Amino acid sequence: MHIHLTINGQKKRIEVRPGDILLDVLRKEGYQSIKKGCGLGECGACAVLLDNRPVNSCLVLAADADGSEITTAEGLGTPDKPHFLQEAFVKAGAVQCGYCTPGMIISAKALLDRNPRPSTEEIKKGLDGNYCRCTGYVKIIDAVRQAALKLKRS
Amino acid sequence: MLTNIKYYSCPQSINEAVRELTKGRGRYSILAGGTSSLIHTHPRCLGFVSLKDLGLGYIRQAKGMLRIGAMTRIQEILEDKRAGRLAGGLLYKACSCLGSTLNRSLITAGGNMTQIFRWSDFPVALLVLDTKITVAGPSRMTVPLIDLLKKHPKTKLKYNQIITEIGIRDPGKGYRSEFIKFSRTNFDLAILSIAVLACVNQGRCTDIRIAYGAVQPLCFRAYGLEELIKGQRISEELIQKAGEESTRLISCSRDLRVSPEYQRSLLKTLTLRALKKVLLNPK
Repeated sequence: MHIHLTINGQKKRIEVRPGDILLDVLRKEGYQSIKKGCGLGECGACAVLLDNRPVNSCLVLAADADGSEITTAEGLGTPDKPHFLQEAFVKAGAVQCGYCTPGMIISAKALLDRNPRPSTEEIKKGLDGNYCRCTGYVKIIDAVRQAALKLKRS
Repeated sequence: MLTNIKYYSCPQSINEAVRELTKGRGRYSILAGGTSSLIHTHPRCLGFVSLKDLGLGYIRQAKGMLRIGAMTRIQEILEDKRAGRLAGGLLYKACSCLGSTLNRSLITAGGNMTQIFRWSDFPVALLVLDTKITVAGPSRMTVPLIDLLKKHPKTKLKYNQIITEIGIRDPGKGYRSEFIKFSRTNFDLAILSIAVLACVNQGRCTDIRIAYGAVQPLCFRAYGLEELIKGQRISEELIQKAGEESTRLISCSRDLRVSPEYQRSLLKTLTLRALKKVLLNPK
């Protein structure tokens, strides 16, 4: 069967099987920022924006996502022109091994889209579905706070 | 990839969905949010019938009830002001500790009422509210939640029956509520949860409803405990007595995660905490 997805603004027609999971389909399509962590919807490494909602792509059946708009970390910025959240993560030193970073950035984007001035508690709540096993969370929360400040100034 | 899944359909109407499920004769599963069905796929399940195009994602007020469509995401309930105000924020509290933000954007109200686990939070809050569940199938029916939960909904509902709507009656002014979930982290599975809804008039408890989750395989109303408090003058002694009685009146079933002693102690502590908040605090 075929599904139609708009991934990072680009329309795509993709062949999938009824049992395919969105995470696997997106990775096969080359969106390698999405990581396969637990596969159970607990770690957040596979987070994407599905019709502007942050979701774990390991819990979405590819066929069920037909007609949706998907945003991955690749769609936010480029190495030459990174998104302000990506910049903030680099500046705050919120990246160590980098495995969780794309998911963190997707969750942070969803949070700032909904609430451009989050408190520390709101940032923690917004990122509660994303695990990081290297940096701890202090610098990640700092990065989101810095990004929110930049958003406010602009 | 789910290797046993060979079929997927996305019906455009409830009747069509029921027909598809009937055609599957129990081998097709309903796909709502997917957070449970994709992880716990039954080996006999050969296909999914998705409910995403049935127009069941809504929250509206009609006939004195807050009506929540089965495909409404928990995050949408959290963001809805009417749902947030209901019963002093009881529904809001239960939804806010349900899973992580990433999963709340997928989990649906209807799915959470069908795939009930020992630790489910959402149905515990709904049990103390006057909740009615609309089920579509070969025939349509509306059942009180309390009746639906007499057995596990997955065994009570036939394979071609779909929960389409959750109707909640606002208890009205004068009611106070509390929902407490005890777990290791905010979105970890509940080790114990309690929902209390009560009305206090001139120092006397005129109505009280208490429900527990994670104590037995299914969440339940504690009628014995309610009877103990209903109609009584509120005092510290009454609450203390209710806390003591909770461990006698409520039987805890075995839970691998906690010892029976710890569970009983927790039951008493949370009962006291919730009752004090609802019965003693004016706000």
